[in-house]
Amino acid sequence: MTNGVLDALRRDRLARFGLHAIAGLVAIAVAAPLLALDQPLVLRTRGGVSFPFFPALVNRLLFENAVDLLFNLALLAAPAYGLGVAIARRRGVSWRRVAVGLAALQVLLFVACLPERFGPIANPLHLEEPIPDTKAEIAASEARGEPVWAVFPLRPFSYRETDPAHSVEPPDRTHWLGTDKEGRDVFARMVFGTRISLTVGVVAVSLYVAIGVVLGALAGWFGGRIDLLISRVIEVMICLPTFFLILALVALVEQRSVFHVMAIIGVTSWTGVARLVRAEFLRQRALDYVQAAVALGIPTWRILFLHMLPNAMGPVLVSATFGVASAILVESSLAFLGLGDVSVASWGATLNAGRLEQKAWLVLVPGFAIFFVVSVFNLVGEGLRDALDPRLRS
Amino acid sequence: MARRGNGWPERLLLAAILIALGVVVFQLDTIEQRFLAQSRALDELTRALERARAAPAPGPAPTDGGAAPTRRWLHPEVPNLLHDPDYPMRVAGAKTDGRLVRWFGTDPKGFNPLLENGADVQDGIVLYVGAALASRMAWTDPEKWQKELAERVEVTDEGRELTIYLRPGVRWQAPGNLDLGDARHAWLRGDHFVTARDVAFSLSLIQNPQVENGSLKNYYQDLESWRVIDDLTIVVRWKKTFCGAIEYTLGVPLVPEFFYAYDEDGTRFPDATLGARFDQHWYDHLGMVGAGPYRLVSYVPGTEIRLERNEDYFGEKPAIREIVYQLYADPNATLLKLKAHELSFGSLRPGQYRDEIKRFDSLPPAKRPKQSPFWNGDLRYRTYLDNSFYYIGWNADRPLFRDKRVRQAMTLAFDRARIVEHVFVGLGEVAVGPYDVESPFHDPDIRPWPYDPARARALLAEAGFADTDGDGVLDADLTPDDGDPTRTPFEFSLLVYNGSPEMESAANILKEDLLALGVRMRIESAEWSLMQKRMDEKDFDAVTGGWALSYDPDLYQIFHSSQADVPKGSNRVGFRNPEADRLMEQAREVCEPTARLAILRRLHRILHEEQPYSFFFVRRAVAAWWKEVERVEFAKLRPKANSLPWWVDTALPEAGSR
Amino acid sequence: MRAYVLKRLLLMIPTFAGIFLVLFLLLNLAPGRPGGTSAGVDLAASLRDERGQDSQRIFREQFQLDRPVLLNPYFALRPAKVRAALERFAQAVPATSAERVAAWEELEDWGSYAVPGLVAAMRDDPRAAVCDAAVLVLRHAAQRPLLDPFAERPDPATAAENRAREAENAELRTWRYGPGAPEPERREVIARWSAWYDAHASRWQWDAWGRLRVLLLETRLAAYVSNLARLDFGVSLVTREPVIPTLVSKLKYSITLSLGSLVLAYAIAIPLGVLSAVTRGSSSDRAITVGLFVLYSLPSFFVATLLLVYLSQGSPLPGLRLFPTGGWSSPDPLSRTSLAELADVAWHLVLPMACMTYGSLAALSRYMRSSLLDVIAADFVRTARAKGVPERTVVLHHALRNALLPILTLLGGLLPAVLGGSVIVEYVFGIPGMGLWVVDSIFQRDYNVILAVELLSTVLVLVGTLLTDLAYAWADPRIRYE
Repeated sequence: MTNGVLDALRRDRLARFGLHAIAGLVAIAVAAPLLALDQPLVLRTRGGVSFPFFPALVNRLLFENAVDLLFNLALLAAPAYGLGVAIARRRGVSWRRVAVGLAALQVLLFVACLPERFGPIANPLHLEEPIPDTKAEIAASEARGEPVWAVFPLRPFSYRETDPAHSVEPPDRTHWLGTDKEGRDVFARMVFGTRISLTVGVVAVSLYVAIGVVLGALAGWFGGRIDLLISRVIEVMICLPTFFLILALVALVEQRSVFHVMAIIGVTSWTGVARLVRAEFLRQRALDYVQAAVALGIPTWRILFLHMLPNAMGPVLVSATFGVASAILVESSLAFLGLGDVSVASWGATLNAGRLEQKAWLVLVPGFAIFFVVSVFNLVGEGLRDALDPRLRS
Repeated sequence: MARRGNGWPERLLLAAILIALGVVVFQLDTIEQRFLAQSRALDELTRALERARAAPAPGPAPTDGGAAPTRRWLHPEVPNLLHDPDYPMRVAGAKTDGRLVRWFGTDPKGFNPLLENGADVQDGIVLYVGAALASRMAWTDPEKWQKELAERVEVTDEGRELTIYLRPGVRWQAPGNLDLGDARHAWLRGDHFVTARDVAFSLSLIQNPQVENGSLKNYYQDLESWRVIDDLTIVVRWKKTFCGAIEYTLGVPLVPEFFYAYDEDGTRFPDATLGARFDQHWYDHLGMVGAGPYRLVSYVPGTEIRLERNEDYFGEKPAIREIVYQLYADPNATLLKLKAHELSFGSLRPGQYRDEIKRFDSLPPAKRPKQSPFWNGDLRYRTYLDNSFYYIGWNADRPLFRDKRVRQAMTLAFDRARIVEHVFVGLGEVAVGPYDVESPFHDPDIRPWPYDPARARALLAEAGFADTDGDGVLDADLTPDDGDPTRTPFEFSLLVYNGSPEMESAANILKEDLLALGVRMRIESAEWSLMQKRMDEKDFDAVTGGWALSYDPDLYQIFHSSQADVPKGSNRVGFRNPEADRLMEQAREVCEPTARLAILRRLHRILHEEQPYSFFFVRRAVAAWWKEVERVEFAKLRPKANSLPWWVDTALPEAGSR
Repeated sequence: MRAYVLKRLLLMIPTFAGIFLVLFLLLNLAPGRPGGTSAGVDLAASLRDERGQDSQRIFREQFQLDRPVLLNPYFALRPAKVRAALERFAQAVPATSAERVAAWEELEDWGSYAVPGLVAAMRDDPRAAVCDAAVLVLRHAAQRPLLDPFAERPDPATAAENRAREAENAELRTWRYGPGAPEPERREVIARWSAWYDAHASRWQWDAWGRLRVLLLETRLAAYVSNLARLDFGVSLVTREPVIPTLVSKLKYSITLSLGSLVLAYAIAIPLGVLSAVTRGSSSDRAITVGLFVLYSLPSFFVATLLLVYLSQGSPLPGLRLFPTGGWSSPDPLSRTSLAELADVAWHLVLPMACMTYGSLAALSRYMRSSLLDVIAADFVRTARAKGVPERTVVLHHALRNALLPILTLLGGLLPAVLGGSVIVEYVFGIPGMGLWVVDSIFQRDYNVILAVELLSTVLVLVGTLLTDLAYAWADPRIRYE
């Protein structure tokens, strides 16, 4: 994407708002434990000072889901990342390099954290230990009349903490957004749900954009038999209603998790992108600059992915921003049909629980959150479309 | 293309055509209205005629009643097992032409009483349209049997032989939802009487391997033979003394041979393929033919099923003339439809009960919302125990749950009382065993296991579980079936049916409570066919489920050790206990009430101690009905919301009439 | 042009075959089997006694579920393999109950192809348990399926063959002994099986052609394709009702609902799109954009419930009791005239149609907007403007007609959804349409229903796409297909 487009995007007020909102959502997702967790950041009892919050972030008993682990690591590494960015800026390294470097670092950290052991050595980043019941400890200390001093995150509730005695309670001062059927804090679930929804949207869309771009590029560039074959595959996928395919595939998976949902949305929704890219490549193939590149003997893959693709990416990006929105909606519809992942705090699941219980706070809050994310991505998509529109740029 | 019209002639023509069209439509509509009015009048006439025909037969024995005095009993010395009905279905002053509108569910798989074992068809259709040989006295004393199609039953040869005498002169209903005027159905006209051959036909179909009704066949495993003595007498013999013999013989779903052995145009099915053809009988999706108090008169798929009182019924006719079942998928819609008075009777979900009723229950009348139909007198409600229990079953074939102390610890960590009280709004009772809590077999002295994490922790420690590697999860040396003891962490997954939000909530709560004990539980939610497969293959650690047991339950199938290894057996949790086995075998043969009670109560104790399941709770259903429905009484047996004794006050507006 | 149509028609064949294969494999490889109940609480014991097992076997045979999916290699089934399964089933070797069940299922899958192996095990295995298990399994495996058991009027030859088979099956079913039977009885039954096998051994001996036939033709795929060739879509595995009549009855609901909402969507989205294109960048353009995204991002199950609760007859607000609480029409449809019925159905469909429409407004009006912007920038529009044609006429008469074309081609892509219906709207509003039916069928593994619905919808979509393309060429003279 050229800087001109970016500037155009920045000039569009709605799109600028959208970009800021997405940044805000990512920030919420990363900082979720600071907003709601039942482990204090600092705890001082007679026994001394401890910081239960930090080990809890990488505790795999508490955070079972890999998505949470990814974001928690980002949170833990955030100060280091900030420092890195500051140094890089001073040295004049370009934004793009900084972003790529940080992403690579984050992925590396995440991968390092996943396995239990590296050969004979236990992984120091893979923490499995009893989750301390600090709240009970504090209560016990207070009962004994000992001075206790603790700094909790914004809300001292974990998104998993159940309490049957406080099932479906309306918002009040303890539970800002009320509780759900299992007595869990809805605020905590919403905050952590941001992670799930963003990940579902981004991962599913990246997957299908990747599939669509590769197949579309191959079909458009080579034409002939390959085009014929790929076009048939596209046709096959189009003829099967996407939601039906998703359902059938979800039913196929025996032990489904939110990752299956992402993968399934990914492998069923790529046809649009493939058709866009194919058409664009068919058109560009005849253009002078491509012919020149071929004549210069530049390798095909370079022409395809470094020269032609950036020019075809505009419409793809627009459809991708819409795709993020629709992936989030599909995830919530699956929760409605009882096909979601019950172990994650997804917005769709909360919304569906609210529908069953017919409770305003259980319906409106996740409903609004879904609306907000979907709109924000669509606004950026819109802005992108306008920014890429040559008629508007002039 | 869109050239302007050349002027008024075209417009005038267009207007004229439109007006003409309107007139034609209006005319057609008027003609249709007249036609409908006429057909309605014709319907009224037919009904009046039917009533007139049914009226002159006051007693139970109509036309050929002369046969009764000459009947000979084969075992005159044996007392009649059956009693006369002692509960009036129609009280004085009851209006007899009311209509009841209820929910059914979605389209039934079919109406064949021998093939469909779903609760929807059995409780909603077969109960009203079918007639059994005899039935338990559901309103007064379920221990006793009352006369239905049979007027006398003699039990001889230590309970192995039942001689059944049918009531004479009972007609099968004319098939509804079918144009009997059509020449193709001419063979169906006329009277068809219920005979002993129909009973034999039904029994033979149950035994026919081509008929796909595995669960029903299972009850008749020990049936030895049957012999038709004459038109109205049949002798059924069992291989051995079996306490269920009476229940299964008298409760056999009856289908008329004149109808179910024939093709749509009256050709008999070839013998070699009789069972297969019966399996796909042409009438199965149109309706059902029985001899019960109601007839199925129409079925519009996806919309409604209509039952109408059988004016020919041999017993006391119910007061409600018409039962309409609405068909829709979403059970949440019932409340809305009740409020809109589209239904006259329905059940609420726990959340709806909490919001509509329980919230205001404790308030003084003045503070209750006046506009709510529940508090202005329009809608009445009652809760009743549903006699089905939910459980979490522990797969004892897995090393993890082989030790009963572990299973006890699981129950101790399961906060059942508070879940039922708060999450299910108090709609239920903590279950302590498999029996109907209102039946004599249920031992009231057995208290449910409490919620006691400390004791659970102690029991787990006793069973050898400790967190030796400090990873927050308990572990122990366990011996798998093939191999040496290995250090195994206490991690397992619970298989939950995805159509049951109640169980999902309970599982979520249990998961957190177990984690506090150092037990890591995963929740796997699965749809029914997947769940069935996993259970059949015993491919699970723990599973949620529910059973709705009959009044006098035979626990052999779900807890006898022999059923743990039968492929697809119902003892899915692999419960094996020699004493329990012995008791269950005895319970099948000892039919004398006191001895039987002692056996079943002892069995109850063992199950309580062993905890093959963590018995979860017995559901309380919330029934709500409009004020025009009178004398809403609930039976002592499932289905409890049996509308036979109810009546509808037609002086008040009826549901579903617009 | 004709060549183009012919080429497109020919290309449909591989596409159709591809879709069929994808679907067929997807369904048949999914875990779980048809024939189970859909009830949540299982109300009846599902344990099956011997007769129950027989009936289960017959059910599987009737629907060819006893055959392998793609290729049938069972003609080469080695007796040793059969014996190994028997050993596990009979617990002659240590086996957990899960392994026993798996062994049983394996034997069930092999069906009659296991007979030679079973007989071999019965004859010469020294362990009584294995021998007994072999007899037990033989009882099921040796029986032969009836030919065309549902034929309305079986021809005499088939009827005679079926009588013979049923007689033989009935006889074979009795060749058994209970646990703990006396040794002579045991030996007698075994001898009978042995003699029977010797007499009929030719049933399990195939020549090369026979093997090929078994390999390719005695499979689920071959069975389904041969039925398909006769346009026989079979009966539902759950209700035993023929699939096609049910499908036709469901079409009424789904097509009305989807086509209605499609028309509604176009009728609302096009003016909105035009408006926002004409006023591009202004506050009304923004308002439309944001408003449509609000609609787009509300999950339909949420909106459906909301509409029902507040706008139906059961609404807490008496003034808003405008619509019925769901369903297709009011009770007792036969008591109304056709016109009244039409009005009644329309009244019932207002809310569900609104639900199905609002979500697609955003995308459609966006397309309309950008397509109109494209056209407005085109030369001929500029020329028209330059000629002094009023702006209103330029937009509505010159630009709009051309801008509508790409929007109409979108119709082709929306076709699958028209037939597929909407699960969620149908569920919440209690409309017995196609979407709900297919989803239930997926959950119950009702292969025949799913295949029939999806294959028919595929054909319709393929034809529909072709027709839209042709219509496009007809409407836009710049496009020529060769």
